[in-house]
Amino acid sequence: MIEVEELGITYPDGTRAIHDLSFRIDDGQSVAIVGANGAGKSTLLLAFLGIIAPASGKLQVNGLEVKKDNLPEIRAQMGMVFQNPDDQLFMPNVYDDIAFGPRNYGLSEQEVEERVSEVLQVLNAEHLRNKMPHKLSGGEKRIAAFGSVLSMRPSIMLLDEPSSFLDPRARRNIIALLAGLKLTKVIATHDLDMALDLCDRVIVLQNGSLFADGDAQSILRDKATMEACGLELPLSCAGR
Amino acid sequence: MYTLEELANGDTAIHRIHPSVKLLATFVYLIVVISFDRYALSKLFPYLFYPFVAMAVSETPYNQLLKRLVLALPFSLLAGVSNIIFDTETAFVIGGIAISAGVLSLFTILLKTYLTVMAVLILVSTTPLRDLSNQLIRFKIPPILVMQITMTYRYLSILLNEASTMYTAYLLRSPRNKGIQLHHMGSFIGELLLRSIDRTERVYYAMKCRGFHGAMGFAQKHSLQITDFVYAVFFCLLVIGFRFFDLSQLLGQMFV
Repeated sequence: MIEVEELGITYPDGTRAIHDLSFRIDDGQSVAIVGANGAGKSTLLLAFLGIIAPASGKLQVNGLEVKKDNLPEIRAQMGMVFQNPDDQLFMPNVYDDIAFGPRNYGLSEQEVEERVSEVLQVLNAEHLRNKMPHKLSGGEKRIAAFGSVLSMRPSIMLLDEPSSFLDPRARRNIIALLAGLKLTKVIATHDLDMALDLCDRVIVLQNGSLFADGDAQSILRDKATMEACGLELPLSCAGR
Repeated sequence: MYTLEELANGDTAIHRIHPSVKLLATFVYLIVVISFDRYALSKLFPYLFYPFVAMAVSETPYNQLLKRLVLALPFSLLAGVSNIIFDTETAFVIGGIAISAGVLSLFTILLKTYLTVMAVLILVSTTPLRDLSNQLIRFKIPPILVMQITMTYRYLSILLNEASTMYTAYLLRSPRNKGIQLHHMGSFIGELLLRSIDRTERVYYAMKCRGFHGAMGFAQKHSLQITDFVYAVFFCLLVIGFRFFDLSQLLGQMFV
């Protein structure tokens, strides 16, 4: 569960990225955070993990306040898949990347091996085990990035533009994969069709504040709301 | 660079030697080769055995390593050329031609460069980076240094790709230029630096999100075998033996 109360985030240059934002995400929900460029989507995800500190307000993850002392526990419970997999895959091979998180949390090498094997099996990616990250295709990199987070067995998964850099087939595979993951998902995205496919709820941000929050089907099909916050209707609803 | 990493995943006798033994053997080889003075050209010849034997046994294509060696040679060449100018004393005479000590030291420097660079390239092309990193940590090299090596290796290609994309974008908008003009070079390099810093920040965020606390771990997947000990002892004895017994001179005396 994520609770956001009157959250305010200010960048070092004084720009207000997020202001007066409040909402709550319950366990098991799949929530899309949408908004135009610069609306504060990625910033919000980083704030959930304590990477960016709030200037005001309160953030709680699974009952733990997002503050320095709680960060190791919060980061063990909540994983984030970054927009660019090259930012996430920094080890010499996929195995070590997937093992990176579990090792940092002090698991024995046997447990690490078990987790990596389990994740590779879930992702149907055994063949990537010993591959070097730079040799992977865009879709494979994305899958490896998912694996690097799933191996920590998070209860909440944050995803920043998970369908970017992907061709249609890889995008479809990723959507199917995400649909099969039974955990809380928070997806920051411009891909409104994917949001329609995966999410039951949508939070719309505009200039760092809450513009709309509610049922995905009704919000994403509402042309006035979409256009007011600099977005368009999903292609599947646009009748093109 | 990545061809080397692909070669490192081979399966030959050299590849199967324990990474710590290869690391130790390379270290001993480098120290011994460097320890010769600048006129000891002939004494270095026996050390040529290692690159040739190791490349043959490990089935490493010579041209792959040679291409990388060529990058290092100009630096040695520049250092050695100055010796020709300043060290003009005659070292020996061959067929009536006097060879100066400067020329002798130039060839010694070049041979030392060849031997040392090849030894390192052979190590890298027969040992996966993760195994090397693991062994460096076990040899008590500060983890922060090992991490720097691992990350630099991983991200060098991405930085090069970024530079290449920027370069292409530049050329497409300045079709009459053959390269980056000097007055644009500052902003080009500056932009590349800023992008690198941005990426560094994002990678660090990704690491922190997965519980990173200052040290990277690697699994120990190898155990030392008897053959590793035999190789280590034989190799070190041979390399150190050549240091104290001038094989070139012995061979020369046999034929003269």
